[in-house]
Amino acid sequence: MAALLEALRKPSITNQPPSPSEQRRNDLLMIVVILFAIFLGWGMRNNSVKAMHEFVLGGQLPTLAYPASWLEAQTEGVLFRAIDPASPSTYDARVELFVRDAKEGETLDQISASWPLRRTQELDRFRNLAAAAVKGPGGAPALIITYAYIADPTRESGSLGLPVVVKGQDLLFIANDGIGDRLVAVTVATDATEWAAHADAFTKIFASLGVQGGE
Amino acid sequence: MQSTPTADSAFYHPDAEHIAHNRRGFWIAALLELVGLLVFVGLFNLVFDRMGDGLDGWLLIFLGLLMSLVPAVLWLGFFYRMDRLEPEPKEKLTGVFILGALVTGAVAVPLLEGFFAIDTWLYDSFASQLIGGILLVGFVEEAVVYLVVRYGIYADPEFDERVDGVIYAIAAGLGLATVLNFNYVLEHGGVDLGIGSVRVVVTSLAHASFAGILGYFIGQARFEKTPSLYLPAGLALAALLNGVFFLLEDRVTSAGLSVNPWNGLLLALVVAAVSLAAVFWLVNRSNEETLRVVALQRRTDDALSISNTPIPNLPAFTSVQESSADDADTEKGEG
Repeated sequence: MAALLEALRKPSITNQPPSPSEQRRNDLLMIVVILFAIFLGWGMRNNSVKAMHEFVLGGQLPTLAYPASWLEAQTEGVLFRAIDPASPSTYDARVELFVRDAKEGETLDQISASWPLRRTQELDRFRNLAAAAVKGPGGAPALIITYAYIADPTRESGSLGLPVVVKGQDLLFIANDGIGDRLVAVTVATDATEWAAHADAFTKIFASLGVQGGE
Repeated sequence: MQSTPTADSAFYHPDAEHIAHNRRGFWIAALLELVGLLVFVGLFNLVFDRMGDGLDGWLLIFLGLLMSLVPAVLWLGFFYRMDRLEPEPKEKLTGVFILGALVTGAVAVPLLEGFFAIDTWLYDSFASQLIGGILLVGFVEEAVVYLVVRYGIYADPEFDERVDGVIYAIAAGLGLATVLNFNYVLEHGGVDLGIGSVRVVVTSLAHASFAGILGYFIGQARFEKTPSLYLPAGLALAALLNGVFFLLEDRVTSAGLSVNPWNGLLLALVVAAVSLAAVFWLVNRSNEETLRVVALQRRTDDALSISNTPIPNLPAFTSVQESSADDADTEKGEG
């Protein structure tokens, strides 16, 4: 380091060119430094891509993790929503969280029948595509309902974007938060044409809740 | 100038005075480039600011591509105009520019945008933009400049002055900037001519500045024995400046949903002016130091040759005195 600083301070000491062996040393070092920097940058990239933010549900309920690049968005009707602002579609990929008190004696079987009805009323042209039983947080039974519907995300802003076919999954489970049983619904949804591109993020979101099995 | 490498030198090595020759025309051309680019931006934002209105996509793309070439064309034009006494060969300088563009298009852009997919994660956080901007974008782009100069012109007999490192590195940097600007125009299906001209100038000035700094280190390492980390330090400095500059540029041009490209232009002008002044000072200082060492060596050689001059026969000296003088000559000769 001292030699380097000295060379920077008073550069031309020798007036001698590098010998062939010194030139080979310089070339080799440069290649090594370039590759090492790119290797470090690659690690940085992987960390950044895998980085997740957390939303704590509170009590004894599990913690939801979502990609760090997604933005938390204010919304009515759900406890939490985060969207992927980099989604190419006008309908941003998203994760939503809905929690309500479980009814007395309510079971997952009853919910599997009533939940699609509720969605039919909320969502335009709702189609129930599949339902699968999985293991939820702490190995408790859970249900994943896969569906599609038509959304019109640009309508409210008055612009002329086309309606979008949205594909979504609702993860449903009953959990006790220390006070009482709660029905927790975690929704992941995106433009149906971008489902494959977001599948990895959705898998990570469900995995953060301890879900095993399912799509 | 030696025509072949020797055991002491990896490449052609001219005499020290030649290496330390400073091209006044090069520095004047660099200043003129700064002024010329400002005039170019002014023309498209003040005089022809309505020129792009009503033009369709293909015409805007074509004009955008033409605009991307302006900084390099201006640079080559000014350089040849101001460097008439002992110009660098046109075909070699243009060749380095084209090689820089080709390597950027064939390696750097696919690597950064394809393999590392920087658009999907680099802007997620301040840390990722800073560290990723230095380690990936900065190092890859500056490595292109280094590799193009090192394996494109470094061993050529025309690379015979210290300042050639700066000249050829800037040519490679402008090739890199031109392809980045091409990409920007094509990805956006053409650009607004006013804002596009600012972006072209900012990208070109920035990359020429970082390349100029790296070029100084390349020039030093080509003609001097340098410590092993000297050249890597130059590359790291250029990559650091690259990453920090584009982070700052992003911050000063974007405020919420509004964009103010003029702040970016101001930043690029300051960086280019400071870099140019710093490289000018460094090259001049190195050249002066080279000439100082040459003069010192000459004085030493002259002193030695005077002391080695045979002493005329003096009849009054004894044989003992003659013997002493012979011993002294032998010692000086060995020294």
